Amino acid sequence: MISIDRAIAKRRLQDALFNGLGWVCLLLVIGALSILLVDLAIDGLGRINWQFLTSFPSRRPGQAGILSAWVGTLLVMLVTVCTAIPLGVAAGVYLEEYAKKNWFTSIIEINIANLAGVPSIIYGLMALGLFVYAFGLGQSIAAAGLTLGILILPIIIVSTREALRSIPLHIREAAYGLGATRWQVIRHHLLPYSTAGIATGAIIGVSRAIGETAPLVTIGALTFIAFLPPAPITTDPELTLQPFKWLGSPFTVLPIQMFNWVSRPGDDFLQNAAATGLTLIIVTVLLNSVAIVLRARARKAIKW
Amino acid sequence: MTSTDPNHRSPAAPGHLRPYPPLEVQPPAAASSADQPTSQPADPHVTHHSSPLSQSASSAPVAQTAPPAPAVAPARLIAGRTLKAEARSFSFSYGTFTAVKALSLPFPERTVTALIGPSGCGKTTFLRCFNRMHDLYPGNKYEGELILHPDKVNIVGPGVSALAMRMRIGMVFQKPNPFPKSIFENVAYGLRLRGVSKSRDLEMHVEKALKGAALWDEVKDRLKKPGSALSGGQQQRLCIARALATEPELLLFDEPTSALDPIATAKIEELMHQLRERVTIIIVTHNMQQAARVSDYTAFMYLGKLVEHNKTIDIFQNPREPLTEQYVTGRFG
Repeated sequence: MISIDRAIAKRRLQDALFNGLGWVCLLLVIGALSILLVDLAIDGLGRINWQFLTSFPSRRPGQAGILSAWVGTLLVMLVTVCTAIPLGVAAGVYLEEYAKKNWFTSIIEINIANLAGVPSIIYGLMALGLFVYAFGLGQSIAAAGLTLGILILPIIIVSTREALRSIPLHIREAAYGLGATRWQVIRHHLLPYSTAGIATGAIIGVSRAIGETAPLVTIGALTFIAFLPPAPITTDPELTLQPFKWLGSPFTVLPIQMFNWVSRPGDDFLQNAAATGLTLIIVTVLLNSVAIVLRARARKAIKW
Repeated sequence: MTSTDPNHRSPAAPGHLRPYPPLEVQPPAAASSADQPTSQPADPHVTHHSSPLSQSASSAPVAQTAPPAPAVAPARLIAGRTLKAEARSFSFSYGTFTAVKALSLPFPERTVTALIGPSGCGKTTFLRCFNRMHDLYPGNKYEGELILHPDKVNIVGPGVSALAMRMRIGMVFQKPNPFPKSIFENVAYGLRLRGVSKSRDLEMHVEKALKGAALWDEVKDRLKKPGSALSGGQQQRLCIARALATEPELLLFDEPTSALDPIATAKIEELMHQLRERVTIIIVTHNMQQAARVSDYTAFMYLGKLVEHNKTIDIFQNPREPLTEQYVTGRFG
């Protein structure tokens, strides 16, 4: 009897110890993150105002702003999302639902997993050769968006496949049994049921892409841009539609602008950099909130 | 849709639905000996409403009365009944393992045939051949013939589309597997696949199917609720309604009550009894009492082979084979 009590007491202690350890780890992580955020906010929050958001960069820190940087970030992300998500989801669906399982597809699978771990500057070098020179896209928003798209493609593919794999086999059989074609099963069942998983992948992917600096520096993003990409519609001298002209425009993005200011002497530029960093975090959260809302809706609609 | 039979109707064409009950199959030569009373669709809903569905429904009998082509022999009879399906020295293998061995078995129209046998005897594998479920996975081989009457199409024949067969043959699985959608959408899905899109038609057919599955009264006020909100037995009846909505000619049940409690089981069995009036049923079951209660014919399988096939009452009370007797009396299996 005593040995049982002792064994229980021992296991309770182990349980409590592990519980405590978990808490300490959590506090460390959250603490480090909060200190970072608070520090950034103390330095930069005072600098974020209308002038800062609507001005181009300048030699004088007080007049400098991040207009071209946040517009550049949004446009590059637009290209990234519009290319990486459809391509990644389609590739994931193909690999999971259509491809025969053989050595060739296993090699592709292993390589996709590995691609997610390749340093981003390697993607930058590849993009410099492929998009900038071979495709002749130049140092443009299109080249940058495609580069980051390639960068996050493995994340989207892997999360799509995971989401598809988690759908029980008997649901597929039910749909096939009613006479659905493979495409109908994918369109009516698999894609709707995996929306939440795909959205999670998209969130992780966009969060990674939005903060990338190295590949964009490699393909030649500029650090000083005092103009905006051409608008889709111009009114001078006459009304012209040029819906895709902005794709070819030179650009800068928030992390590059931030890096540029951090490397300059003077507290004023450092304050600008902190404010840029804070803006970057806010933009990321705003972009991701779209996917988060989508995911919440998908989870609500699908009741297993 | 491919078929070698020139008389073949094409029920798989989009929007082409057939009415309950499955159409009488009485080739001229057999017409007098067939014992079924003519049971024209009694439901005025089905015969007279003016949706595209009814048009196709009313055109189907015309094709039926056309004289059969010379190549088409009158359907074989078993105990005065027309056949709905038939296995002719049918084998099925996974890779190198032959799970179903040279099986020959008739399935008379509008009867319940139970497939019984110990685990691993190939009865579920055999059942899943009927709607070509094995096609979803690689490395399978069908041999012999699996004939679906009246047009005598070989379900597993080369060039016969699995899709077309699944359109005509419904399946209810072991575990209730409603889609994570609303009750209504679950039942409507098969109809939507067949091109029914008008909400009035959908509502009518969904109601009819739910009534057919004895579920209507329990769910009529919450059709928009998810199917997963129902109890296990209700979910299984929802799956039956989903299969019934498309008015299949043949309905396959793969141990439909093995996950259910006795009360839900009794309801499903009662339902099968009613469904037998209008559709041919094949049921795989581990429960011998169930086989005895619901089926007209029973086939006992062992190690992929057919040991004995007979009227259910004979299988249980007067088996010819010693192996059958041992199994049905619970001495092995």
